[in-house]
Amino acid sequence: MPLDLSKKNNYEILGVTAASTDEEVAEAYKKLKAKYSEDRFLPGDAGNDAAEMLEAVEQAYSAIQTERNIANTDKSSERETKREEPKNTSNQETKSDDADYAEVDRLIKAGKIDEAQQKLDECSERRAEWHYLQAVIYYKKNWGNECKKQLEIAMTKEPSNAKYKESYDKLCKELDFKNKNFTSGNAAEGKNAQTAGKDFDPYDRQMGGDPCLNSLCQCLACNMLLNCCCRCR
Amino acid sequence: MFGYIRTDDPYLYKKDETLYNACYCCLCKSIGKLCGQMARFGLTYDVTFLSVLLHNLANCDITINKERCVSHPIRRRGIAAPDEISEKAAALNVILCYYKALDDFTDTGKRSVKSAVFQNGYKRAKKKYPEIERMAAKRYGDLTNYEKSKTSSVDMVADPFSKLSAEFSSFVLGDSATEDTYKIFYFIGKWIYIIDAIDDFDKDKKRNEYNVFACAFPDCVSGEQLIKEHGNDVFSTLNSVFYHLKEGVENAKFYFNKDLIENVLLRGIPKQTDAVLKKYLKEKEN
Repeated sequence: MPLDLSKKNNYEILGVTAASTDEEVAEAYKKLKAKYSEDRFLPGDAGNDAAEMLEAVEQAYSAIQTERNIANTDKSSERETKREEPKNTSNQETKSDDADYAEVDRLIKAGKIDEAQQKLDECSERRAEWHYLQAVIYYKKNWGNECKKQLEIAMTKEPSNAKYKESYDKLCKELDFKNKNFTSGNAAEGKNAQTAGKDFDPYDRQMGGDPCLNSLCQCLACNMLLNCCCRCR
Repeated sequence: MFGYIRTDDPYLYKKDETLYNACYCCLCKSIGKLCGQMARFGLTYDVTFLSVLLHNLANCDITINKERCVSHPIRRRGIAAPDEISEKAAALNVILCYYKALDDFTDTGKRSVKSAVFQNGYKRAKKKYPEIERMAAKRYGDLTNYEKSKTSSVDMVADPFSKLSAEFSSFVLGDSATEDTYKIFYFIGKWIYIIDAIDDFDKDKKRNEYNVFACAFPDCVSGEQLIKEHGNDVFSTLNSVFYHLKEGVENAKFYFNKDLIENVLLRGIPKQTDAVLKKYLKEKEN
């Protein structure tokens, strides 16, 4: 089989055209993958060719998928801008979205993060508020970086909104957090100075108790004895 | 993925060193008792630290006795008496070792000796604590899926391991688990995953294996370049981890003094991070 992959585009490798639907592409991918997965164990060049083809098919499929995803998001964002212009006509939709957003907000506050995420995924329209809510969910999931990305999108869509800006600044502070306290080296000493005046601090119990606290003395005693021995020569 | 959690020795109190070593030995013995002698080789300081942290948060004191053991037959050492928490930590340790060995197996395609070593121990741990095994199986499944999808989101791919650590803490602490304890363990897990990914960047590149930073910044060919060109993105991820660890340590309720906890979380972890980052910068100098 001649392997002139460089001349073929992604669609040709899969044997489909740019006009094919997502399902058709997926179907072709599955078939080819199954075929080459088996063939790559053939002896000699046939096996090698199949392995190469398998890789090419994988790459082509993922490239097509990303391409199509980007195209889809572009389309949906176009739709959004179109919708935003004639705002009065689509008032009803905005309202229903607002209700959805409020519901998501309520779920987040109730701590039902997974449900909130599900609800948010169902919203068709992705306005600035959508990205803000997604950011909140990410924050609750402790996903700092993803949260930042969503807030950035929300801010570009609605630069005038103070809420987004405020959350973003707060988050940036966390991400720029410098652990001065530990690197400058005085966290423990500062604390000792604080507790020095207290007679008894319930949180200053030593775990493990006496053996831990005595160990230093034992070490010292041990050391002293050894030293004595050494000097008694 | 193990061995990154260390103490910052110059600032470690002698009493805490004793405590840490006692817990280490205790964990070793617990593993031996629970999962057999072979599994003792998998012992890590990471899980030892989790055990100390859990004891403190659960208000469970440890008793230290002087005992001999196989690897230290002559001098008797302080060894903490085994209890439920250290037994659960022991089970976690063995289960994680087994999964890690399996993971290496799927990555490289070669069955490693390690998985055979831990298989028996894993079975015994699974029998005693099926809950821990279930958690680990679920999260490792998630992790494999994310890695297969070649995601470029650090938060996402670090999530399963972080959640595993957090869920384990909630499982052990039971009623005393709070949001703060969850957070501490979540970010410990996250840090371990991230630092491992940075540390293995060159190795993964060479072997053409999945690495989240390689997917996030496909133009980088070496770890050195990663730190030089995308250092800020990497640092901001790590900084947020430090921030939350500090917040967690400040807010969580500790029943004993937290000198050792602070040493590890607030000093050891940043220090270890620096060491990993410097590794790349140093190579450049030479």
